[in-house]
Amino acid sequence: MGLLKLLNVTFQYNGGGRSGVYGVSFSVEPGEFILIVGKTGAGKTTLFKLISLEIAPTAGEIILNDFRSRELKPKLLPQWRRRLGVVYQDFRLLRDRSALDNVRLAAACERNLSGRPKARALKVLARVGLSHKIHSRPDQLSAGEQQRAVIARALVNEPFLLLADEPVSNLDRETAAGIVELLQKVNQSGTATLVATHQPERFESCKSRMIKLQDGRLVEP
Amino acid sequence: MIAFLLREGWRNFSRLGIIGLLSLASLTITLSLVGLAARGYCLVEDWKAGILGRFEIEAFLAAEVDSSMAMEMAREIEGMKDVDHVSYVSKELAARRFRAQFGDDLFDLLEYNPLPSSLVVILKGDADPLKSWRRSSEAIAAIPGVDDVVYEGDLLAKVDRFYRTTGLGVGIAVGLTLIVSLVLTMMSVRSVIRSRKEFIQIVSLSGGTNFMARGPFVVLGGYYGFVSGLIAAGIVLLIDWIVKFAWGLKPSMMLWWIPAFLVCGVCIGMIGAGWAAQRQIREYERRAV
Repeated sequence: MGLLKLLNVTFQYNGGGRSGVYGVSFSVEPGEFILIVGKTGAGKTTLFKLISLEIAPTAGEIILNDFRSRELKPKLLPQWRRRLGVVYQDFRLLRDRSALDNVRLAAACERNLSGRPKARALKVLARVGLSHKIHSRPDQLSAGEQQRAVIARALVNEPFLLLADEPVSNLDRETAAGIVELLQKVNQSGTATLVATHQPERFESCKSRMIKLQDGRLVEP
Repeated sequence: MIAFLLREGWRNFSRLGIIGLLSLASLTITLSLVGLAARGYCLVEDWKAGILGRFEIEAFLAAEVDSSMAMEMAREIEGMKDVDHVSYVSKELAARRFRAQFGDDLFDLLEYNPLPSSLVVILKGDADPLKSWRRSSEAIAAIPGVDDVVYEGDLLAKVDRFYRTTGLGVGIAVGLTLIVSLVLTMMSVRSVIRSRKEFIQIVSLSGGTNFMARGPFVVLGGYYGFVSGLIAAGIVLLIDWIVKFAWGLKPSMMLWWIPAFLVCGVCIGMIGAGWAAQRQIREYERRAV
């Protein structure tokens, strides 16, 4: 059984100004690396919001491990989200706290893992190569370092699946290559990785499966 | 979890903006007013007890009641629920008091002592003024040998009315200030939540429970309440001390008021903040979908 299954998932925004997703179906196996490719506005971010249940599908169903989105009770939503790590396009780092505190905040949300949140945060920051910048605030970090901090925050709770929304779009080629390499390492350690991008060429070095999204619908790559 | 809530609550509190200061000020004023009202109520209580302690029920005895029978009746009356103590006024004592007050004219004219013996009854200070006085006087009047029972019913009714009106007024004022304070705390916390929207999103999307997203803001309300309670306790104790000093009373610090203020402040702060957080987070959830 797959790690994640989307079954004919549809989401339509109220008012119809933004394009949603329509009848999307695919599955992700444990340890897979998948690129979701599409132009800006193709529905990639909406798809990620649906997978993290930030928004609920208007039709269809998402299955994550043994959880089914349609039957999910609100009190089980945190458990659903703890299985995912999300890397946002706009970073969403809290400006008033250091890289360590940003990661530690996410770590504090999962109490079932061994080790104190601070220790886990330090460990994962070292893993992404940010040991020397743990006390720096986001405005003291470069774009690449901010992206690494976001990846650390997404990984701190040891998710089964990492969702990365345009992780290299705001980065120069060299920095982007470093982030791609980091995502590859994360994937090789066993975490299934789903990357949304409009620049698939930057991920050429990855052994990945490609899913193409156009106007909210899956098309043949 | 508690450390997390306290740390995140403190993080919010340490960035106290103008609205936060407004909330702190309103809570301080509210708690000070509540404290002063409570102190005033205690003073009215003392005053009431003092006034009522001066009232007495006088039971005039029939002519055939001698002193031993009167003492027996006094014991019976002292056994009643609301009675504090009873004193016997013999015909002779009544006459001496009359002479001391009005002179000998009446007795010279009548050539005998027309004054009846009586029992003077003092009720307990905490007895319900109107009910207990009426109940006791009726019970005393029913004892064989009692001719008539007299007490200041109208004045008592006025004292009781004043006491109840004051209590009601204070209660309404305290209730209104509490509501205003709760609303201001809610507004303040809602504005903090709006500015910390990303925090809620991160906690929520990292698998944090609703309690973890809401808790730091509830704790923030608790911090508001704690600081306000501390300031308000200082204000009330200072005013109390000044008033007592000005009236020449022995100043005393009612230190147990300080934890009472803190508990009251923390409760108001947390309730207001809890409501605000719940409403705001629900609004975000509704908007998200």
